[in-house]
Amino acid sequence: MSNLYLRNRWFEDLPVGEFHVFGSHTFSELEMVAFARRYAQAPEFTDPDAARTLRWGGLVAAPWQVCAMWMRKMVDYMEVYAQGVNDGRRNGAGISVQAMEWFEPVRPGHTITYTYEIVDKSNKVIRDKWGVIRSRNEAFNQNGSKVLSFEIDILAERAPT
Amino acid sequence: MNSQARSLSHQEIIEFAQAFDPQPYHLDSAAGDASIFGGLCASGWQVAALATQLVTEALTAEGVCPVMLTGVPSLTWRKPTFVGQSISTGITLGDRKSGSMVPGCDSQTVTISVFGPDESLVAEITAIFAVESGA
Repeated sequence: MSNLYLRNRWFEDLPVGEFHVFGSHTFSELEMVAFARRYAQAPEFTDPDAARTLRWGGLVAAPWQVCAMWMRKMVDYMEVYAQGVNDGRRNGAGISVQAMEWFEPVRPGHTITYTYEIVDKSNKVIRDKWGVIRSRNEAFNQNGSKVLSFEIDILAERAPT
Repeated sequence: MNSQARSLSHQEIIEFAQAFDPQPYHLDSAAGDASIFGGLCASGWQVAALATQLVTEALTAEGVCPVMLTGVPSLTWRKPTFVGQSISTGITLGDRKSGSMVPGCDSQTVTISVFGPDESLVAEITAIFAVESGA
């Protein structure tokens, strides 16, 4: 099996500058309300009727839902489109986020497309095994407007020596 | 100030993971045991979202009137959150600047310590909330 398959790669194989457009999602009213009832309990996020008279003139997605969908699209991309081993080396945990910002609300029916670019690899080694990959991630709506951006540090397993 | 405490059930952790973070250590106990976390644990995004809800409730009770989370300059996850563990937050108000992505609002910086059992630090978050101008 090729060592170049996305999921076969170790920390050392991941190049700064690698860029993926890794998925899109059309947000539905049902899933927006279901998320917000637990994690963003304000009528802008939970109540389509009340939201019509509030500041956005309609229901909008909870900020964390737009971000959580980034995670889902990332996992799906690896599961569905990437070949290679599934032994956990690509399942490094996220450890920290920087410069996260939401720019515009996401409304029902909006289709959000997520991008990922590796911007830095630190020299840190965690638990003798993991390196740290920093990526810049952005999300755009169907009009091309940026709705979310952030950087995240994710562990990637270093090649065995 | 401090928020209320809340925990995530096995079902809530699995449901969130199925919807947003379907990785083995968030879905399956055996896979969790074998992972870097040492057990089935909540997605870090679920912990962040729950913490934000708790902080929103606490700020509202204090009359700060947060409208929406608009930024997270930094977020660090320190420890996994396991089934049934109680989560609470310690909240410190920081700078307040005029203007926000939310019309008619200002931007309030809030420093959040997310605590697990025995006041152990689960995550640290610097967040920016839109708050009603003049409130």
